[in-house]
Amino acid sequence: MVNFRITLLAAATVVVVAAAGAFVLAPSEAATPVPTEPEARALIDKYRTDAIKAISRDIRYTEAISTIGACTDPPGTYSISARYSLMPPSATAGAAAVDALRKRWTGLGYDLVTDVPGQNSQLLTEDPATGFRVGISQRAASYLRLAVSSPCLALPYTPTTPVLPEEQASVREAYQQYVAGVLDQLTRDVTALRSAVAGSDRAKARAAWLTAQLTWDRVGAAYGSFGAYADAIDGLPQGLPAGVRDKDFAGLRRIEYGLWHSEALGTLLPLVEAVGKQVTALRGDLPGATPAAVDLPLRVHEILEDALRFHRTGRTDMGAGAGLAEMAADVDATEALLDLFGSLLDERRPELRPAAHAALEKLRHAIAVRRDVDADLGGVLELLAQAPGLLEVTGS
Amino acid sequence: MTVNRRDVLKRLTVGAVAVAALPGTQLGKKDDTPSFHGPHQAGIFTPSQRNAVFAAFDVVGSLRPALQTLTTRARFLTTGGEPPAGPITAPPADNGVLGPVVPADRLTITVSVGASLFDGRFGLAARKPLTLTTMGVFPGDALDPAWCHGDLLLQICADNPDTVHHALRDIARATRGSLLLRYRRAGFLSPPRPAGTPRNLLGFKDGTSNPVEAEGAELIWAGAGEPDWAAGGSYQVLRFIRMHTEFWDRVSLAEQEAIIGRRRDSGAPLDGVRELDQPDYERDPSGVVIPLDAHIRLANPRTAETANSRILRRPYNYDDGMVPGGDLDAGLIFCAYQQDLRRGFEAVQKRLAEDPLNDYLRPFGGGYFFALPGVTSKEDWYGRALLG
Ligand code: HEM
Repeated sequence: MVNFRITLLAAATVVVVAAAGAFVLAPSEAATPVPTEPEARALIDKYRTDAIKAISRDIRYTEAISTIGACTDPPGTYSISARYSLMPPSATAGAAAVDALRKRWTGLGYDLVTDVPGQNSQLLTEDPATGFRVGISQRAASYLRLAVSSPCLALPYTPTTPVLPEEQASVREAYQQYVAGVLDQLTRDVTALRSAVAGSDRAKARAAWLTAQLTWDRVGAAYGSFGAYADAIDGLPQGLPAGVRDKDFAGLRRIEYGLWHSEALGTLLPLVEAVGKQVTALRGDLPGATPAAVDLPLRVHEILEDALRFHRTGRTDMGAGAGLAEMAADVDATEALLDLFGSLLDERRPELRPAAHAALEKLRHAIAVRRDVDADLGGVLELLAQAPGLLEVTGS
Repeated sequence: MTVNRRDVLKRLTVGAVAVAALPGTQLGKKDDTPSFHGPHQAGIFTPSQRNAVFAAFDVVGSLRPALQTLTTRARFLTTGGEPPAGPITAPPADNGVLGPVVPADRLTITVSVGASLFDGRFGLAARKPLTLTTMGVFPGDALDPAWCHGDLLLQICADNPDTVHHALRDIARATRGSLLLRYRRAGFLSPPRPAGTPRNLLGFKDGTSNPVEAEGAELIWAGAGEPDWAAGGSYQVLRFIRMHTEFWDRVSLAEQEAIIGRRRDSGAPLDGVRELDQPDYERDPSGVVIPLDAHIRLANPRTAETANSRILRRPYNYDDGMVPGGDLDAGLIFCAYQQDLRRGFEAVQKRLAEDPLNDYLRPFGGGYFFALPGVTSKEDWYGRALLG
């Protein structure tokens, strides 16, 4: 579980239902065929690419944000737009780019909407063939902004209000507290495991391992979150050159392997101690090690995606056969995270959280009776996959 | 009567060619039948046919006659024609799957050897290609030994699946007792949807950016330092990669596109418009349009230092049954050719260690092989220079 699912902040599409941005002005009356959303996005790419080709190659992208803004006329329509921040090497290079684009766009027959020259220049044009607007403005000596926006479109869905960065940050804060509590429990579990392994009762040691493993699962450390700590605490042998015999195979999974493969209990002691050290280190480093706020919405479905890919396929099973019990712990973690996003989700799609909780309860039952687990897991995942898109932030 | 029958066949064949010459049909066009003889094997730079099987064998008898038989069969199968009629008392010489006259169907049979062939059983230990090793384990792999390695690998490709099946069955029969099938997996190449490069099962066009034949000498064909016999050959990497398609389908389009670095519909790089537009990473040093960890950007950063790590990919989709848990067992048969395994595949694979795409993939088999030099004439056979 060393991989990272990407953070989409830079390239994210965010929805601004509030006032449309500077370049999203009222659409022209031109009787142009209105494109569908995918067509509009492809056209934005086209205008962007065409503009970029017309300016010096020394001008580099520094930021890209795509938004959907509500139009007032007609109501219920939206304009899709994209803004690209660019850094020219000098003020002159920036001004030259504005001039080059004025030439390019007027040459293509675009109508001038705004043309404010000088220090704080602002140029906005409209392509009469499509109603798309494309503009460039020089905000500072080394800052250009290219913006493309579509005319007002009818969308087949209602865009949702974006989550504010501070709202996301507070979810992260709450998640961090949740994890801190789970790690405190894990510290106690590992201490118990240590004394069990120091003794001679294998059954007791196995039970202590399972308790600790399930507590760790409740952290919800999907997707390589908690990075190297997570790898050290429950890294898997797959991907290591010598597999289960690899010297780098350590942590709870290695202990499980030893407990179920007749390894002398005493030989596992250093492994347990190492896990204890990692848990303490992670507990101390939580403010830094907790996943970024923008990643957390993805975890809502990823914890159980991990259960599907790892526990359901037996890939994490080092002998204990605890896949189902671990999946139940993943359900706990998912519910906790879902509720941390509770009000944000409820405001945007009130029916989602009750439906998800009901489906999670059904899955919990399926796990308990060992029937229809795959079907219920699949059903829950399709529901949970609706959540991340509702929880994106504005990129500003 | 025989003559009459032949005449009918000839007429039928002519008819078929006439039909095939209609615009839009590829089948049977004479000029695109890959040539069997040449300095390099067919099936490497040959435009990908629609169907393939990758079949690994272990050599359990004597190598030389096996390779000679393999050559005779491959020469016949890739050229096509009427199989010789044997005595009526014996089982038929041909399995009949393709009817009485075997069509060429753009069939190619590409023969490669694995590191295990040089282990001493055949006295070849000193003749191993320079960078040929047994494929190791990469992070994220869950390799199943039953799906790994092999003494020989046959890549059999043709436009139709029955042609591929016929060829594998014919070869396995002709070499029975000396070549033992170790594993095999069939793949397909989708038709263009709706245009351009065919799509893989993640829904993205796959195969857009590849070295061209003119770059073969620098990037693909065995180079300096290789044993003499290896000239004209190429290192081949095979990876069986399962896809978590269910999970992939639960990810937003914007994220899918950011993971690959291209638009799903058009196949264009995220900073372009058309499929064949070149990504411009210099313009985007911090990855705001094409993320720094997009698959295409990690795989080929397009810098002077990484230019010689480019590899020729010739992948096929596979779609087979289920995995435990009830998900579809579908994925990619990743096949790539290069001049040097360390400089090519391994350098790319190392860069892909942190590829977000890995979360949706599970490599479970494959191996490293060396595609033999081409069979140059009617007298030549696969591996003649190797066996001396
Ligand atoms: C199932 C696994 C994989 C999938 C679905 C996949 C998908 C893709 C896609 C959609 C593209 C963009 C289109 C193109 O240029 O062909 C691409 C490009 C590429 N991939 Fe993969 N790929 C996979 C595995 C690999 C592996 C294992 C390697 C090598 C170690 C690799 C190396 C490359 C390279 C070199 C490119 C071309 C980049 C460029 O030149 O711009 N891929 N892949």
